[in-house]
Amino acid sequence: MARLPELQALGVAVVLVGSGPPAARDTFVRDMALARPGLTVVTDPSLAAFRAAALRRPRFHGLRAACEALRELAAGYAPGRVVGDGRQLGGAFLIDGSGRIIYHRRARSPGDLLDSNDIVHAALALLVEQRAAGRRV
Amino acid sequence: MGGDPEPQAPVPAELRNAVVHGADGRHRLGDFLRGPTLLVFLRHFG
Repeated sequence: MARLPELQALGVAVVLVGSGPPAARDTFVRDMALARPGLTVVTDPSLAAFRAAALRRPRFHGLRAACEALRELAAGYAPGRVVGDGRQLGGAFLIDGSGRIIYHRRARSPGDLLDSNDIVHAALALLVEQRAAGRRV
Repeated sequence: MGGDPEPQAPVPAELRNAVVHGADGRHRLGDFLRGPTLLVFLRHFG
């Protein structure tokens, strides 16, 4: 979320989708101070949106996930209680104003984190494309 | 959606029509995709 102001400056809204119960959504928004303009937090306990986005939900996270968890613990990050589906993995999609997906990334394991640089670069490319299209009209 | 959408593909109808719970009740996810949007699916809250 550190790069949210950059995305807002580029005219990109952000929607976060969780998988916990609606009450957990409210707690998450409050605890993480996410009640901000340009940012929407929703939840889908049915996981229908996650399935529609073809996000992975492996039966077991495997050795790779265990190594990632150990690395996080060694770095001083102790994860709290999981609120949501423990098997579901995340992902990100950048969608342009005409509803096209111009960037997508699906996590391959629990520790496979999004690279915010990639997202900001994709948003910048979108802005450049839109401005170029505007000049052509 | 059958497989992975390729970049430049339209947002699948199943994704737009998925029901989500927001601050003021239930919505279609597509209600929030009205302009350039970064849609992030979280592993979990917390």
